Amino acid sequence: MSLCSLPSGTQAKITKICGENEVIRRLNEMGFTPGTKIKIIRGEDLHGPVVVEVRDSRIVLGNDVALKIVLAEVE
Amino acid sequence: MTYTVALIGNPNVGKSVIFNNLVPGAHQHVGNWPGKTVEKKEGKFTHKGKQIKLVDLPGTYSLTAAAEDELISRNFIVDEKPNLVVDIVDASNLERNLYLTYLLLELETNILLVLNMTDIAEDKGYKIDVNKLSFQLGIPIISTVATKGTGLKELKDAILTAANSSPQVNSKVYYGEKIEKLINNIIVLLKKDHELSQKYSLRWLAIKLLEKDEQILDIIKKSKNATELLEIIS
Repeated sequence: MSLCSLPSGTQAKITKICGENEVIRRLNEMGFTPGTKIKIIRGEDLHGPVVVEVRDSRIVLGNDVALKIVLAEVE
Repeated sequence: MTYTVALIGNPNVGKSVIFNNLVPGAHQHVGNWPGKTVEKKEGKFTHKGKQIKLVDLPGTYSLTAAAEDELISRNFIVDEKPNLVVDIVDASNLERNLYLTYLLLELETNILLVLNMTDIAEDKGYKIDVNKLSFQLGIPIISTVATKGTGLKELKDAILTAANSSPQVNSKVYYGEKIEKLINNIIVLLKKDHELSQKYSLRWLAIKLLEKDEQILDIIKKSKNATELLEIIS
């Protein structure tokens, strides 16, 4: 499940972060780690940036970076 | 003598409010970091007869070599060796904020932790055991609500006390047997280079080398035992 295809308000859990070490580290530093829950604040934008809430902070992610985050549904 | 004290913290933790409170506007000096477009704010204040030079470091989440503002903060701590680094954290979002704290602990610098926005933390229902946190991290902690002026007098006292003492035995992140062994092997080689041993915390250098940090790789390439060191991380 990709972060860019989900509608606003969706909650999901991070299962994996793909890409180069530099990208993974940067996302980890911003709080995107496997197992963490996130909420899409402004999504469904297949080309532009998305706004995500992670660990009580809202973060804007460029489309290319957002695509590196692999998500799973939360029950 | 004048103590040099650096302020550091994530963005939006109230760092500027604390800076402005410690150093009144007229005593502030605003410029740029040499050769950078990042703003540098500094100023002096006197407390109990001692002069303190306060330097406001850029608000960052991390201390990597990849981002200009983070590198400025990191280089300031490593090169200028301030007497104290005051790490301001949002008490209502400790999990995120303590990441930077651990990076500072790894730098083996002298740290005072400021739990700011404790009112918001309380509103959220958090009860922070300050003594236990201080014991676990191995650094002194002070609680403040900077926007209301709460705890700022105590902060001045704490800055003076902490700046005057040497770093405590900080808690360290344990990376597991395999990586710890690599760290120790690297430290043995680094120790043979006198210049490096004097300037850096060797454990920090070893960890950054394992992370393949660009700036540290450049330093290591110029050091003694460069070939052996680079072999370990290849």
